[in-house]
Parts: sequence; C-alpha cells; structure tokens
Amino acid sequence: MYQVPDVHLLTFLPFVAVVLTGLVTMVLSAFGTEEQQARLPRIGLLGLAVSGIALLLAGTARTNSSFGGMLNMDGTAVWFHIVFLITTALTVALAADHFKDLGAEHREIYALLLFACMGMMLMAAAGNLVVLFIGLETMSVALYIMAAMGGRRQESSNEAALKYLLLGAFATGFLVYGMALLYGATGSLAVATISDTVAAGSAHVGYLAIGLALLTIGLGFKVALVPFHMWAPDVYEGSPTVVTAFMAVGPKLAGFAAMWRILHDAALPAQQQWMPVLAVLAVVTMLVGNLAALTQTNIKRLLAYSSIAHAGYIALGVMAGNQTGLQGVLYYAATYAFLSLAAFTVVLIANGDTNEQLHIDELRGLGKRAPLAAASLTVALVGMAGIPPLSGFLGKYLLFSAAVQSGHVAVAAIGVLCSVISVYYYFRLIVLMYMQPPVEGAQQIEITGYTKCALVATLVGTIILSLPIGWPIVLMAGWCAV
Amino acid sequence: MEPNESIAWVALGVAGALALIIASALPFISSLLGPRRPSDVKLQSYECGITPEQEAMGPVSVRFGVTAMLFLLFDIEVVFLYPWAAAFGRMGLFAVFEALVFLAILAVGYLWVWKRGAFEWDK
Amino acid sequence: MGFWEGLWRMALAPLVVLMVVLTTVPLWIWLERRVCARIQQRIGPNRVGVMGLLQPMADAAKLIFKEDITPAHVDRVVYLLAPIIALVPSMAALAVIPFGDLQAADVNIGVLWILALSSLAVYGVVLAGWASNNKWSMMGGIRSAAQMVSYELGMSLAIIAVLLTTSVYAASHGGHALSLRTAVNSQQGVGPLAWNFIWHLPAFVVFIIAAVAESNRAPFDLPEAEQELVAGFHTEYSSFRFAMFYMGEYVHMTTLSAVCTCLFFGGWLSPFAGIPLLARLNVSTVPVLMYLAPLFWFFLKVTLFIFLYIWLRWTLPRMRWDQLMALGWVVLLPAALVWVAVVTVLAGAGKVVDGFVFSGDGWFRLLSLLAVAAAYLIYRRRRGSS
Repeated sequence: MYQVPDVHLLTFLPFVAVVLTGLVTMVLSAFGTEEQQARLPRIGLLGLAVSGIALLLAGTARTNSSFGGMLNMDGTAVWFHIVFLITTALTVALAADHFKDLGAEHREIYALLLFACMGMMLMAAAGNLVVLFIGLETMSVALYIMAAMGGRRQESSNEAALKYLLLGAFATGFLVYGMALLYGATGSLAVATISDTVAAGSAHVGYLAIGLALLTIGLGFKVALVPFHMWAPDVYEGSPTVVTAFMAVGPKLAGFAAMWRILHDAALPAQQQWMPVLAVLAVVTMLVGNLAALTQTNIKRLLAYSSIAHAGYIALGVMAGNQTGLQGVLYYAATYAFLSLAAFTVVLIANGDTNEQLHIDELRGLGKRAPLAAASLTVALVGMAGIPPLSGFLGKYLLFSAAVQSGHVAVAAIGVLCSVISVYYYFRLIVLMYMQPPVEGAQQIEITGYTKCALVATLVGTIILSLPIGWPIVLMAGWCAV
Repeated sequence: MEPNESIAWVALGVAGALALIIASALPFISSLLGPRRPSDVKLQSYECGITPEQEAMGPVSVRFGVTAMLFLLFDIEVVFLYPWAAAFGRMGLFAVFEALVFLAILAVGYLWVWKRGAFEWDK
Repeated sequence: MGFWEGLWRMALAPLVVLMVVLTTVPLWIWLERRVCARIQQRIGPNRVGVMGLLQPMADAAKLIFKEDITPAHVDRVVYLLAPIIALVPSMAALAVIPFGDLQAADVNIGVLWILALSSLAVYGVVLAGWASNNKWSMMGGIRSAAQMVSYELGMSLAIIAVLLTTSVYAASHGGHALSLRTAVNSQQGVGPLAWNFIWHLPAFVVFIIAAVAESNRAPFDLPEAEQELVAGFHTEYSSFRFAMFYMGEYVHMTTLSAVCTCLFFGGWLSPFAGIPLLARLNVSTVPVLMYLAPLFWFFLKVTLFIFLYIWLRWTLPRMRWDQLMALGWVVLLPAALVWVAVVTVLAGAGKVVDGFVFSGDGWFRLLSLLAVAAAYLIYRRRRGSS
C-alpha cells in the first residue's frame, strides 16, 4: 500500500477557492446568460475575497506543509499570496470597466486572471520544483492568452502576444533544463532535499552551477532582468493596458518568489556561486532600466522600463539572501504592486483602451482634467522614485541595507544613484500633468465605477504602506520573513 | 533489475530492430527486382491526367491546428492518468477522490471547449 | 538459464512472433476478399491454390517485380522513409502481446509500449501525404492525422478503465498493472463471464470503434476516400512501397485485435475454463495441446475481430468528415471519460466493502453490470417518453 500523502485542507483552501471561482467564471463566460456574464467581475472578486479569508485560516493550521512537502505555506508564501490576491482583485476591477463593451470572448479574462493568480500562488508556495513549474506554466499560459485580448487594437496586441509566447516558451526551456540539471546534481526535486544535499556538499558542483545559472536565466526572463528584458517594453506596449497592469506586477513578483524558493530555500549553501551573478544582473538591470526610461515618450514603454528598474532593486534583496533581504523583497513587493497598479490605472483613465499612441503628452493638464487621477499618479511616481515618506523609500531602504549587510556596498551605492536618475523621468510626468496646458480639445474625464474603486484602493494602499503607518507593516514583513 | 526483466528489454529491442530490418529490406529488394523506365509523364504528380498547377505542400485549414492543440491537451491529461491507474490498486480511497477532482476539472474544460465550437466541423 | 533458452528468449521468440504475424497478413487479405465477395454475392478469388489461398502471395510477388516510381517533385528522403515508418510501429508493437506462453518480450509496461507505438503510426501516414507533394495525398495525410489523434484519446481512456481493474487485481494477486499478461490473468473465472468485455462494456465499445478508426478502415476510411481523394496519402506510391501501406493496415489491424483480445476478451484463456461440465474439455493436461490450446484460442479470437473489421467495412457506408470528428470528440471521448469516472467510483466502492461477500473484483463486476443496465433502462424510458 502506498503511503497517502499528508493532506491538510486548510493549507490549500486558498488555492481551492481561486480555482473553483476560476472554473465557475469560465463556465459562465461560455454558458451564462448576459445577466450572469455581467456579474462575472463580482463573482471573481468574491472568490478572491474568500481565498483571502481562507488564507487567514491557513495561518491557524497546525502545519504549513501539505502533500508531502509539495506545498509550503510559510510566512513568505502567505505574504506573497496576499499581494497576488490584491493585484488580481484590482485587475479584475479594471477589466470590469474596460472589457465590458468588448466581444464575448473577452469575458474569459476573469477566468484567466484567476487561473494566473492560482499559478502565481503556487509558485510562491512551491516546496518542489515540479509544483513551481506547474505554477509558472499556469500563470504564463493564461498571460499569453490575455496579452492577445486586444479588443479594438487587435493587431498590436496579437504581435505582443506572439512575442511573449515565443520568448516565454524559450525561457521555459531554460527553466526546465535547469531543473533537470539540479535534479541531476542533487537527485531530488524537493526544495528541502536539494538544500540538504547542497549543504552536505554531496551535490555535483558543475551540474549545480549550470542548473542554477539556467534557472536564473529562465526566471530572469519572467521578471525581466537585463539582459533578458528585451520582450518587456514591446509586450507591455502592445498588450491591453489592463493586462499590462497585471503583467507588470503579478508575474514579476511571482518570478521573484520562485527565485527566492530556488536560490535561497534550495541553494543557500551555494550562495557564493550565485551571489556575484545576481549582483551583476541587478546592477545592469537598475542602470539599463533607469537610463532607457529617460528617453521614452510612450507612457507604457516608460513604465515598462521603470518596472525593469524595479526588478533590479528587488533582485538586490534576493541577492543578499538574508533576513533583511527577504523582508525588503516582501515589503517592496506589496509597495510596488500598489504603485505600479496605480500608475497603469491612470494610464487607462488618461489614454483609454483604444489609443495607439499613448504619448506622454496626453498626460498634459491631467491635473485639471482629472484631479483624482493626477493626484494618484503623482503619489505613485513619487513613491516609485523612493522619496520619503512614501512607501517606495522604506522598501528601497530595506533592499539597499540588505545589500550592504551582504557586503555589496558599491552595488547599494549604484542603486541609490539609479534612484536619483529615476527622479528625473518620474517628475517629468508630474510636471506635464500640473504645469502644462491640456492638448487642444481635451475634455474633462469622469472616473466612475470599478475604476474609481481601484484608483482609491491603490492610493489607500500606498498611504497605508508609507511612513509612519508603514513601519509596523515592515515589521510584519520581517516576521513573515523568518 | 531481475535477469528475466532485462532479457525482456533486450528482446524488445531485438523485436524493434527486426521490424525495422524487415520493413527496410522489402522495398529495397523490390527496387532491385523491378524495372526502371522513368518518363516525364510517370514522374508527374497524379492529378487525374491534368498537369499540376502549383505545389501541394501549402498551408491547410486552421481547424486542423485547433484539433492538434486539443489533442495535446487531452493527451497530456490521459498521460497523467496512466501512472495513477497503474497505482490505483495499491492506493486507498485517496486515489478515488483525487481522480474524481481531476476528472471534474477536465470535464469543465471539455464542456467549455465544446461550447466554444471546437468540435463543429460543418460550420 | 542455458544458452539456447537465452537465445530463444532474446532473439528467436521476437523473430518467430514477427514471422507469424507477417504470415497472417496474406491470410487476412484472402479472408477479406472472400468475405467481401460473399457479402456482394460473388465468389471471390478461388483459382490460385486451394480456395484461392495463394492469391495474396501471387499479388505480393507481382508487386515486388513492379517498377518503383519516385515522382519528380516529392521530398525524396521522407517519401522513401514514410512506408517504413508506417509499417514498423505496428509490427514492433506486437512484441509485447502475450500469445499464451509465446511472447516476444515480456516487459512489464506492455500497455505503454502499445500506446507509444500506435501513436507513432500516424507519422507514416501524414509524412507520406506531405512528402508526395500531391494535393490528394496532402489532404489524405492531414485528415488521417486529425482522425487518428482524435480517436486515440477515446482509445487510451478506454484502456485506462481496464487498467484500473487490472491494477486492483495486480495489487492482490501480484504482477505488474501495465503488463498485458496481468490483464489476461485478471480475467480468469467462469469462462467468458469473467472477461472484461462484459464488465467493461462501454470501454469495449469505445475501444472497438476507435480501433477501426485508428487503422483508417471503412467506415472511417476518409484518408483514402476513393471518390474524393483518389487513394489519399498513398496516391503517389507504387510497387512494394504501396504494398507496405497495404501490409501496414493489416498488421495494424492484427495488433489492435490482439490488444483488444488481451484487454477485453481474456487473451489466451479458453471460453470453457471454469465452467463445471465443459471444463472436462480443458486440454491443459495433455502435453502438446497444453501449449497449442492457448495459441489456438488467441488466434481464434483475433480472427473473430478481423472478421468484424471486414464485416463492418463491407456493410457500412463511409461517414461524413464532420460526423467522423464529432463521433470521436463528442461521443467516444466523453463516454470513455465518464466510464473511467464510473469505474473509479465502483472499484473504489468495491475496495471499501472488500471481502464482505465478494472480492474487490466481484463487487466491481456486480456494480458495473447494474450501472450499465440502469443506463440502458433510463435510455429506453427517455426514448419511450419522447
């Protein structure tokens, strides 16, 4: 008789809630009446809320591992799950307004968002490389489809989806091959066993190094670290803005969660091997992301390069591999999620869905045309620039100090320098919004419904994470990071 | 591995090799024995006596692509079921519930694909 | 194990099995032509040899002396390889079939080997169609690929259903769940009553239909539908390369019939085994018959299936393309899926009450019969009411 694996319902209830909601929305998007289909966003939000409650219950479970260590619901996983649930909920809200009038097949976005959310959660809670891979693929495949849901600008969206699919499939190849080599080096796919084998020094050194390198490349693609970032600006630009908002946050953070699971949880004893590599990647990413953002005139490309730069900052925390590092990654994940979603929400408001140009000049005079949106974008940009007291400052402080603690003072210094550079292009947008007259014929923009809720939610989220209320949350992140 | 088992694997390889040898030898023998008198008309593509206008290796209906994709999806699900089925006898009721959840999710996907018209070839 | 036994088991047994199967091909061709003649009220070939038995041999000899034409515009390498790729997988698949004691390779993953190779068979057909650079061939090849992959799903799911009960048997009686030998052993009992085709009736029906479609035979012979596609994927082939496709079809039929015999018809088991009075006829005590009887029963069953193939081909009209795809995807696949779920529940329930009155198998059998009967009654009622 085979041993039945330990199954603790509480530990995977959050997943069940998301999957069931995803299935229900999927079935309704094909079989439901018009009335039921109009309710899809609400069903999605309800499922995410239920999953959030289940997450709290998971905290009360006797154990945090399930299925023989396949799932590992520790503090890190729970924190990431909360971030993913909030990200998905906000994206569902944006889709509710902006996908409403598009064709019937666009209503599948709710199911896809929920499945992608489940994939991301699986990545963050993976105790086994196979689970991590399944999560990654669930997320990626959903994203490939969503990138193609272009609505009225189908052609650029198709191009984006194809680019994303081809390069994504290529990166997945690297990832799987890396996993295979890690298995070859240690004889196991379980994160805990790999860690033990590496610590005992009985892993094959060469395979381990190549395997980790390939895994870093594969995940580096997903989180858009330079030099694996080439796809990001094109795909972000071509995809529907709602999807871009999700893409810039969810998969990126899930990629970092996976990177932490592999590099830290599985391969910490080999840190001397991967630390310098990640340090170089982080430095290059911060430099290229910020410098390239300086010259952008397309708002989505600008935000794409900015998101690449942020990946560089977060990579510092992963590189450090210590408790401060994880604390920084966790806190910055939450911070970045709100800031980035706020920025893309304003892009949606200011430029609409059908606009091909998305030139930053369209933000001119937004301070008069839509004061709430302009204020929200201002907070988001100031936050991203890392100016105190907003949340970005605390996050960067944690990440840079983690880098310093791990002995990379120069790297941290470059990070600070890059933050200073970023002030230029972030503030250029603020100047455009408040100190330039609107373009001819621009009208007042009224923000209503779900979009308004999302905008306010991101604003509130950012303020809660900022000083002085933000400090207890930093401590909470530290507690989750233990 | 027991000796009996390893012998079986060798035999499997031998059977495969024999099949390959027999299948390759037959047309080879035939090409030696048969006459060889090519002519332009003989070497033309057969289109019922009409000279072919264009290459045939062109694109085909995208419906075949959809079928191929669906096959991949469902075949992978079936592949997942094989190890489960082989171990079914030795696992407890857990295996039953596990499979029912799996099949239920598969069935939802199937219904969705059906509703979206992937199985309608006459439209 | 001595040298001779080793040689027998490693090399001679595979050779014997392949030779026997290749010898059966002309036999099936003869059977097909005679049966089709009967169905069409003709006589059929009766001149060459006794009852025309040597007619296929004469045909083969003729084909081997014909000119081997390679048309000018084909993709040469693929064109020449395609017939070989079409024939090899179905021949190699036979290696794991247990014909009684005779078995080329007694590996413990027989079912997987069969599935792996039968999905390779589609390559021969689709590559032949593509490489011929002929519109008829191309269309036939693509159609055949779509058809074979569509029916493969139903077929593999039907096999999974059988595998579940085999697995339950293997857990209590020993043996590997994926071995065809275990599948046959699990059908020991009171004659045909213990065979899977009764207890797995839905899976059996799905398997049989899928098997006909897999081997591209009427009523599913759209890849070579004469009226629309000349000869489909082998339009451009001549001489023995054409004969190889022809042979491939019959070898494929033999393989599928043999698998069907193992999984659903008790393999080499005698239909009289275990029946109180008729068991006297059991010959397993007579030295020579002891080895020949299983072979006899196995080949009898295979012949019955081949006859079924022929009967279907000359009785049923060809299906329309959309009907064919719909049958595969909308009828067979869900039917097999539902049956797998039903077997899971029934066999699971059987395990709970194991040893109560029946064994686990017994419970499954009882419940499965009830389930099929209930489904039939509901169907009758709904039909009667509408």
